[in-house]
Amino acid sequence: MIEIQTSQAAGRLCNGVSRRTFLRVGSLGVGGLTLADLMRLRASGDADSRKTHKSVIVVFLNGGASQSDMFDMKPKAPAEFRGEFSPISSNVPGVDVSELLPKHAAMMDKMSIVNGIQVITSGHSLYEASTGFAGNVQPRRPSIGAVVSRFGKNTEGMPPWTSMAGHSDPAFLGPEHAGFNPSGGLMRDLFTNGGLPADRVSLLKAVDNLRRDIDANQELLATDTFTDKALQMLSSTRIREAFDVKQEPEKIRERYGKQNYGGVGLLQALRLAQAGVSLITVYGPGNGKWDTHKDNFKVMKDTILPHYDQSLTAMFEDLYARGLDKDVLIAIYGEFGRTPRINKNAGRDHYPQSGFVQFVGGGLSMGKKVGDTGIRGDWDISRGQPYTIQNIISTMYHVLGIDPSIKVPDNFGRPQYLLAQRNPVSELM
Amino acid sequence: MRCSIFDITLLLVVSSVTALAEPPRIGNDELKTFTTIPAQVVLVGQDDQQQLVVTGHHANSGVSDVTHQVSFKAADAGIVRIDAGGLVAPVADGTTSIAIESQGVSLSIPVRVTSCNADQPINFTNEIVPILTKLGCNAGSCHGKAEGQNGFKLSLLGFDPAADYEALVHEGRGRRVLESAPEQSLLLIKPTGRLGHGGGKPLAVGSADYRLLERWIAVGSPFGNADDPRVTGIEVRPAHRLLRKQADQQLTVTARYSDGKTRDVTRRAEFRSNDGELIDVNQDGRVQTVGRFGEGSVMVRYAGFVSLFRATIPLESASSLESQASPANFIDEFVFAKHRQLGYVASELCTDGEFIRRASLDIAGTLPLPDEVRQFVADQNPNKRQLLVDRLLERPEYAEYWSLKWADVLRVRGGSNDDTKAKIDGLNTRAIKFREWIRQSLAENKRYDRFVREIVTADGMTTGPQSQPAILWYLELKNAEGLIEDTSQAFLGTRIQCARCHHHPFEKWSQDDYWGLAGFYARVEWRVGVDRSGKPVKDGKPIRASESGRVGQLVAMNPNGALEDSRGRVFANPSALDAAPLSVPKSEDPREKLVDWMVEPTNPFFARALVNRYWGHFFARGIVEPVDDMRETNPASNPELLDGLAASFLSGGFDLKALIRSICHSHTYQLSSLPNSTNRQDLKHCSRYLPRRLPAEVLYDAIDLITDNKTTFRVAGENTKVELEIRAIQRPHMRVSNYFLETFGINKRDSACECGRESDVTLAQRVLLLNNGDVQRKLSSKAEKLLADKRPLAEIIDETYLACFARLPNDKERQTCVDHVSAKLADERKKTEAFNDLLWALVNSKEFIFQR
Repeated sequence: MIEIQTSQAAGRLCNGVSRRTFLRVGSLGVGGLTLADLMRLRASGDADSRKTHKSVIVVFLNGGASQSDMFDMKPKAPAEFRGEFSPISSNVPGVDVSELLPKHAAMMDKMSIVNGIQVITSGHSLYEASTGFAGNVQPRRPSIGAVVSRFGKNTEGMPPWTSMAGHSDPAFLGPEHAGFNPSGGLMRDLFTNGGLPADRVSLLKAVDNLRRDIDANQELLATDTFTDKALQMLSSTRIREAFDVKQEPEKIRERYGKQNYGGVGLLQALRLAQAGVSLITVYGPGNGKWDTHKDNFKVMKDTILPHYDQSLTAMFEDLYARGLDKDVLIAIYGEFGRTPRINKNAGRDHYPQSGFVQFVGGGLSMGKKVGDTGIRGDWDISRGQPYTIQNIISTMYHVLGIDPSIKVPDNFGRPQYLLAQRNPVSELM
Repeated sequence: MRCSIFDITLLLVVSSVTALAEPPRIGNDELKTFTTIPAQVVLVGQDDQQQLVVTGHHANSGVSDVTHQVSFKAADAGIVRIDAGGLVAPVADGTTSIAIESQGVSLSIPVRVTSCNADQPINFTNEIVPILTKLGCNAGSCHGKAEGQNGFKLSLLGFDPAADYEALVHEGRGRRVLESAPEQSLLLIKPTGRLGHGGGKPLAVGSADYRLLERWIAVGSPFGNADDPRVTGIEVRPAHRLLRKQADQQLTVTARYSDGKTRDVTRRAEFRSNDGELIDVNQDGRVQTVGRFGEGSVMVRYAGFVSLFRATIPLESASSLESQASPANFIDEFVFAKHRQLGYVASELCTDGEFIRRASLDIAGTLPLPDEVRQFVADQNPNKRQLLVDRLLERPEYAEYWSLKWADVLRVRGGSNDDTKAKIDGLNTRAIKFREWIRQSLAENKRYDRFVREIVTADGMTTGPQSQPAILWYLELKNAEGLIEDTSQAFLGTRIQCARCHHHPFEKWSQDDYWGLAGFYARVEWRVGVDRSGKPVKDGKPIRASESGRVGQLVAMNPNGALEDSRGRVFANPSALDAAPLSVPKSEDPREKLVDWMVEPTNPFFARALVNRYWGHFFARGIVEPVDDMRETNPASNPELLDGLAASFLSGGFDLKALIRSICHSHTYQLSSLPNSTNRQDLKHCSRYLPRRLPAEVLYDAIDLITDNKTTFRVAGENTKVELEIRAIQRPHMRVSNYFLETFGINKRDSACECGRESDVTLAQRVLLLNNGDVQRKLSSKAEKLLADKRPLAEIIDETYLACFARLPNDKERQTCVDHVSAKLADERKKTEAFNDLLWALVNSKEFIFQR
C-alpha cells in the first residue's frame, strides 16, 4: 500500500498546499505528469511505449440498461418478470443472450458479463458510475479518469483521460487532472492557429533568460519544461488525428452503424486508446433512451438493442483485429439495472440491487458469465457479497496497474483510499 | 493607553530577539559532561517506562544529543532493564542506578521502581485508547471513518472513549475481547495478522502495547472509574534544539494528570514531522535531520493533546559574505535576527526596475508603464522606494486589486449554475454591490476592525434600496455553522470546521469549543418571502437560516435562538475561544460581543491572522503557512516577527495601508531574488525574494496593458446580457470570467481559503500563452501599431522591454531582437510577423509570467 505523504502537516488542511507537496507539475489532463515522471521518460528515451501501454474505455449506458432483456434473461420466471424476448444460445455453451443481440451471441467468447452489480444510488447517478461513491457523501470523489491521470502510467504527449461522457471531475486530485474535453479550450489552442514559425521559437529561446532555479516550488523549471512540451504538441498532429474518424476507411466506419447509433464515439474512443490515451469515457448506443419506465420492450426492440448489437460488436471486432484485446479494456455499464418485475406501463424501473457490466479485452478472462441473480433476477443479492461499481472500477485499475489502496489526502487533508471495495472481479482474473 | 502597552510589548520582543541572535553553537568537539532528561527515573507499576534523553555538553559549551551514542548499563538488572535506545522498563521493585558512558565521560543516574507486582488499575481512556490511536486503528481511513470498517467502528482518533468502549467490549458478539482467553480476542488476533486484517499488522505479539492490551482484557476490560485521573496536558522535552544536519535528537513526552502526577508516554504518543524536507521522526520519538538547513518542527499528539518540538538547523560553515541590507524598520530587525540564528546572509537589495515592477504588481496588481520605470530609475531621491509605495497605495488600482483578494476570502460568487435565471440576476447584482462596498472600504482605508464589524453584524434586507451589501456574506454562508467557520478562517486564522463533528485532530479545539463559538450566530434568522420593494410578506414565518431561500431579510434578534450539535447537545450561550460562556441579554445582539472579543487588543488571533495574511501576499508564504491555519502544531517561521507585526497593526489602529507601508518599506521586501552561497535553500525566512507566477487576473491585465487592449467581459447565463468593460482585477463575481482566467487559476470562492486560487504552472497555460487565438489577436493588434511606429527599431525594442520586464535589454538581447525583427521587416511576406514575434517571445518569457 502506498500512502501519499504530504511533507508538512501544516499543508494538510488545504487543497492548494497539500497537493503542492507532491511536486507535481501536471496539467489539464494532457500530461498530469510530475516533473520527475517527465525526467524519467526523457532519460529512458522511450516515449513510445505503445506495446505495453494499457487503456480502458468506459462506455456509459446513460439511463440504466435492462439486464433482464439483455444478458441476464429469466426464461423460467413468471410472465410478469420474463418479458417479451427470448434468449438464444451463444457461441459459449451455457451463456444465453437476448434474441435481439445475435451479433453478440456469435462472439460471446470474446467478452465477459458480470451480473448482479449493486449500486448505492437509486436515482440516476453518473456520479456514482464515474467515481464509485454516492454523490451525497463528502468528500466529493475524483472521477476514474482523474485517478488515471494522477496515478496511471500514461503516454507522454497524449491526454491521459479523454472525457466525452459521465461525471467529469478531478475533485481533490486537482484541476490539472481534469478530463481532456474535445470541445474545450485546450483543444482550440492546440489546433486553431496552426503551427508556429521555427524562427519565432528561436527568438523565445534567446530572450527567455530568467534563471530557473530561484523560486520555491520549481515552477520556473516547470515553465521551461512545459514550454518545450507545449511546442512539441503544437507541432504534432497525433491528438487531432486520433479524434478524426475520417481517417478510418469507409468500410470500417459503416460497420459502426448510422450516425444516430452512437458508433462514431465508440470508434473515436478506440482510436484514442490505440493512440495511447489511458482512459476514455464515452456514451454508448441508445444514449438517453435506456430509462425505459414505459414501453421497455418496444424501445429496446425498435431502437436500442439493434444499434447496440451493431455498433458495439463492430468495436469489439476492431479491438481484436487491431491486436488490442490484451491491452485495452472496454467496460460497458449504466447507472443501475432495471426492475425484473415489469410495471403497469410495460416498463421497467430503477433497480439498484442488480445490474450488469460487460467487459471486453484488457487481458481479462473472456467468455465468462459471473453472478447468479436467481430464477427471477431479484435474488436477494445482499446475502452474498455482490460486486459494486467500485469493484468494476477496481478491475479497471487492475488493468491499468493502479493500486486502489493508495491513500490520497482530500481537500481537508484527510487520507482517503481511492476505493473502499478494492477487490477486482476475481472470476475474470 | 492602549498604544503604549503595545509599544512596550514590542520593545520586550525586540530585546529578546537580540539575545537570541548569538552565533549558533552546536557541540561537536570534546565531550565534557552529560545531563539527562529526566535527571532521575521513577517507575510505578509494571507497565510504566521511561525514555531517557542524554545530552552531551562539549568543550565549546555547545550541546548535542548523544542518547543513541552512549552505552547504558543498569547497576542491578534485577530491578530495571534499559535498551540501547535509552528506554527504561521495570523488572522488580527496588532502587538502583543506570550508568551512562561514552568517550571516557560517565554519569550515573538513580532509579526507583515501585508497585511492580501490584496490578495497576488500567483506565480505558488513558491507556487503551492512545494505543488504538497510535496504531492507526481509529484513523479516518480505517475504523475511525463515519461508517466504520467491516462492521467495526471507532470514534475518530479516539475522541469518544465511551463509544469506543461499547464497540470493543459489547458489540461484535463479544468476540473482540475474550476475558477467558485474552490471546484469542479479535482485538489481539486481527492487528497481529493472525486473522485476515485489511489494515495490516500494526501490532507485534509480545510488544509493550500487546502486553498491556492483553492484561487489560485479562482483568475484565475495565472502563475505569469516573474519578480516575484524567490527562490534562503533555510536554515534549527538549522543546527546542539547535541541530546539525544529519544529526539525531531523542525526545521524551510526559503526560500530566489531574491528580498532579506525571508519566512518560513517549512510546504511546504519535510523532509527525511538519517539515519532511528538513527532519524525520520515527514513532519512538527519535528525530533525525535530513540534510538541509532551516527551521522545522515535529508535532506530538497524545490523548487529544498536542505539543511541538522545534529544530533549528543552522548553516554551519561561517560565510565571508556580509549582508548589505541594514535594517530599515522593525520588520528587518526580526527577520535579520532570524537570519543570524540560521547563518543566512540576506541577498542584495534588488534593482530599481525590479522594485517598481514588484511593488506595482503586489500593491496595485498592475505593471508599471515604461515612462514610470524610466522616471523611477532616474529619480535621485534616496527615499524614492518608500515614496513609490505611498503613491501606489493612493492609486485606485490598489483598492481594485485588494478587493479581488477580499472578494475571494468573502466568497463573492454571484449566481451559480444551480440557481434559476432570476436568482442569478439578483445574486450578481448583489455581488457587484458587495464587491463595490469592499473596494470603497479599502479605498478610504477603513479601519480593519470596523470593516470586519460591518460584515459580521450585517443586518436587514437583502434586496431593495435599503439592502446592506455585506448581507451577501450571510446569503452565501447560510447558517451558524457556515458563518462561524468562515469567521474563524477569514478573521481569526483558525480552521475550526473539523471540530463541528469531532475533536480537531491537530488542535485543542473540541466540539464544545466549536458550538460555543457558533453560538454567537445562534440568534440569526431569516425571514423569507420578501416582496420586490423589500418588505417582508405579511405572515412570513421565521425559519432557520439553513432552510431559507437566498432572498430575504436577515433578523439577528431571535432571542431564543439556540444551536444543537450532532450529539444532540444544545448550546444556548455563546463562548469565545479559551473563554467561559457568555450570557448575552435578550435585548442585545451576540454578534456585537463576538466582534468585541475579536478586536480586543489581547485577542491572540485577530490581528495576527490579518498581518499573516498580508505578509503572505507579499512574500508568497505566510509567517504561518497556510495563512489561515494558525495553530500550536503549525508554528510561525518567525514568531517574534508575527507578534511584532500584530502589535504594530494594533497600535496603529488597524490601519491596513500602514501595514502595507511597513512591509514594503522594509529592506526584507526589497531583497533580490538571486541567492548567494548561504541562502539558496531558504524558502521560509525571507533572506531573498522568491519569484512567483503572476495571478491569472494580473497576467491577463498585463497582456492588455502592453498591447493597448481592453477586454469586454460578457456575463453569461442571465436574462439580460451584461457587458462589462473592466480590467480582470475588477472582476466582481464568478460569472465574470473566461478561459484564460480559468486556465491560469481563479479562486472558485467556495471556501474562505485563498488556497482556492491555483497558482501552479500547467501545460494548458503554456499552450494557451503560446497559441491562444485571443492572446494572438491582442499581440497582433499591438504589432500592427509598432509596424507603423516611426521610431528607430532599437528604441521600440527598448520600450517593449520596459513595458514587459521593467528593464532595458542588455546589448546582446537588443542585438538579437534587432536582427530578428529587421530580417523579417526586410522580407515583404514576413513583415507582419516582425513585431508579432517580438511580443510573442517576450510575453512567453519567464520574466514576464513571473515577478521576481
